[in-house]
Amino acid sequence: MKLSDRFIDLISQTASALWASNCDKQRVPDLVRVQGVRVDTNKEQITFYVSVKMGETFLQNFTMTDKLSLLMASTETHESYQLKGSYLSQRPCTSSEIQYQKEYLLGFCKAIEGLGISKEKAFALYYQQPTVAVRMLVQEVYEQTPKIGTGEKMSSL
Amino acid sequence: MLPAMQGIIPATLSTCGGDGMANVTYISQVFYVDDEHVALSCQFMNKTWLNLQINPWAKVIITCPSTFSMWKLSLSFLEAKTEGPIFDQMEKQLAEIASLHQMEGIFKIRSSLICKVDEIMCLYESLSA
Repeated sequence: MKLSDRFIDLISQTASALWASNCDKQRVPDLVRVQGVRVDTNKEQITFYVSVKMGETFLQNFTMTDKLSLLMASTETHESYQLKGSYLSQRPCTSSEIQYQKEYLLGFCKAIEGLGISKEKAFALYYQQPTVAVRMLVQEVYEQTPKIGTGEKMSSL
Repeated sequence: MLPAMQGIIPATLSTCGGDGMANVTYISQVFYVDDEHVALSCQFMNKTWLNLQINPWAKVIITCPSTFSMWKLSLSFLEAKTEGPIFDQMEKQLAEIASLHQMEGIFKIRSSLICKVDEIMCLYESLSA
């Protein structure tokens, strides 16, 4: 599924909270916070960054499944979407990707500063290395913005 | 951990369907029932509800609003309640949360999903605000 330019702008904003999830062979789910995402130039694949320590089970699950979901939510507007698709690969992050994660997380921590914690403390708490880059093929998108009737599959985005 | 269950910062919930695809969504309430149980507010989450009926396992991440510490809870779904003291308390708390997020009229609890807490993992721990 090709992602629209508007959605690419939205998911690339530092004010977006990001989570990824998959399951093991027994269908026990796991859930991990994501440290930034980039949409590939073909607009059908994304690459997101997960802490090796926090994502241990999540990353191990890819030996058993290729199905995964990614949730993004704007902390400013609550606009939210869930991407569902297939795992393609994982590899260690490059230095430019680590720099990208720092910028994403600094922006995210600034966006949530209004909740009452300084951006410096939030960054120190949440920023983690090493991380891996997970590549995903996006096949379906569901709206998740909190409202009556949400959860519908979207034919385009 | 109790401040993380006030609903100030929404929790993130993951379940898994019969096809092995995870479903991840925000949830307004992870309500403390007792030392071994929590209740999830079932509002919009049709897919989550479908998943839990065929596969009881879930993971939820909660965040303390004053320190931003995070915990991941491994849950197993036991039953849904649409009345009784837990449901009534959750309905009242959800109205307060809706007011906080300016979502009055949108947040409405359909049922309380009672879950056993199988495991708790601290993800990020801050010593002070």
